[in-house]
Amino acid sequence: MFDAGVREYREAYWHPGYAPRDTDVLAAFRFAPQPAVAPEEGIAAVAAESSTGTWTQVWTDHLTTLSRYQARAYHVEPAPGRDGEYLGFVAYPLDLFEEGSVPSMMASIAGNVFGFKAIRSLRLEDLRIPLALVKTFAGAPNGIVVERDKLDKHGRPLVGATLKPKLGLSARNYGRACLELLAGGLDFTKDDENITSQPFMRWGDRYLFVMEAVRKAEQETGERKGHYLNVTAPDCEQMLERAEFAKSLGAPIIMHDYLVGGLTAHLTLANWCRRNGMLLHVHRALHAVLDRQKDHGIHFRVLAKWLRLAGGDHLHAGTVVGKLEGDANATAGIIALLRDDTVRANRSLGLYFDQEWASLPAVFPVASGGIHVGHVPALISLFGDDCVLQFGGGSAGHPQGSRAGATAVRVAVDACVRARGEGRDLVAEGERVLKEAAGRSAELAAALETWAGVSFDYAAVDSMDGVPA
Amino acid sequence: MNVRYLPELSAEAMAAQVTTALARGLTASVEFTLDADPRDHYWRLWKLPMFGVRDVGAVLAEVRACVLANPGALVRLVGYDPVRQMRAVSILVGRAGGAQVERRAGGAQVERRAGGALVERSQ
Repeated sequence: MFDAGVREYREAYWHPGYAPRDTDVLAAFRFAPQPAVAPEEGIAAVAAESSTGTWTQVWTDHLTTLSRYQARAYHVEPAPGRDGEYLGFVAYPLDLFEEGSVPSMMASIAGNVFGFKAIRSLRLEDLRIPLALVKTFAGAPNGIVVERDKLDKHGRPLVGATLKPKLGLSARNYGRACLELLAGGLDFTKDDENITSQPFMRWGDRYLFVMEAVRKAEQETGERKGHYLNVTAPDCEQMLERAEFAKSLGAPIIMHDYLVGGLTAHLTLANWCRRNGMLLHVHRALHAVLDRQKDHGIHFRVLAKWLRLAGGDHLHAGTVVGKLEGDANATAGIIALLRDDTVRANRSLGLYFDQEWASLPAVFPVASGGIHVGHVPALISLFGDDCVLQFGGGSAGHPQGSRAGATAVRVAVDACVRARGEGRDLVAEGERVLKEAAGRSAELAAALETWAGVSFDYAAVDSMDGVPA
Repeated sequence: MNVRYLPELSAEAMAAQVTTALARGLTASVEFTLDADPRDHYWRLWKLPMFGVRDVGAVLAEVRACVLANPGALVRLVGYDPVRQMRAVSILVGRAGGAQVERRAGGAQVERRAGGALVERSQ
């Protein structure tokens, strides 16, 4: 007999002590239930609304075996140091998700449930993607090792810069800005995330002038160079048209705003890059709208995991020391998720689950935003070699211009790498290493003087648990 | 690492680099080219990579031997990581008997001749 009416969510969706299966997708949520709602009922409601449940009993439930498809809330605990907030854990059966589809995961786990009235706030902190699902994705078109081999750049961080001013230059002037930085010593220059095809510089003109600059810088320096040509476009057809034109000009790398363009467009582009041997730089514009508030939204580590599945060779991941938000421990956790093959749960890094990547290619974390030569020893200590360090203002802002600014950056990076290779400790000796190098480089000396003492020491809005926000 | 942005390594500094690379468990390998084209990935191998060699002096001796046997060649010392199949260290060694281009303040390039004489080159 069908028994109509409303029941508590926990009757069907609260399974304390459930032992998750290896094939389950596991989610860690931070949530605050409404005052009248118990935490177990709250997390059961999240499990129900993000899987098979709705607010009332429906007769069609009985046409299937719901126990096979329902999500299970299996654990809840108070969030450390946060009154009225809880951490809840939910297991989703594999059959709820389409193979090779990030949108499928987003629409369920980060779907309607975030506006659910019984929950005051909800944040997706982490997601364990089971091996069975990981293996349905191809990931980065190239990965760290292949990119290094293609560009023949080994044993040091890659260095780049975003061209400034970010908007308003003509294509010819933009190409000049590009040439000066690349010839000065950087590996890459970059379009800003909001450079697409505006009236002051149409995309085709930009690609032509920039690629002339790239070729010229390669001739001058004898090194491979690249510029991230942003192919973010109004529609997928135009996105691919821009990618094809970049390829026809011999560009080694293109760029996409994966959250703005959307994960469907992004997967199309990543697949195109894999087929065409193109490197793919990924910008995360929009992320702070989703991830910055501690009590509501999606943590960037989840957005980063989705990108590792969907595919990108570089992903912006914070600098710790620069101008943009990013707690040091949370950033370390995200870097591990982008680069390592096996990542172990570690609450102090914000990692709630073990994650196996099954040899999905590693992604370069990109540190960009308010960094300058003085930060180089700290950045290399934090990130190691497998990163891209981007100095936009930190090179074009040099008193003698972009070329000198780029040389200063390159001298600083090479000097720190060399000092480390000689067994010196960059944390303890970084400042001295830079000073010694500046004695032989007027460019570095001027850069160190210009930005002496410039730092961005603000408390992170999204601090880790146990640390006052 | 591109030697042009830094002065040439002294013998002691080179020994320190090799010591650190071997301590990291990397395999030393020496390769050289007469024509450094940025799109040429395959420089000529100087003998086989030194699998299992942990003697700093032995590695330095091969670098010297390669430089002496190939006047005018660019020589590269590689620290290879077989787990990742990646070059974790790459150090350019100056040309012997030829010219080494070095970047100087102001963007001017300087050629260092074998005898140590410096010749300014315009760009």
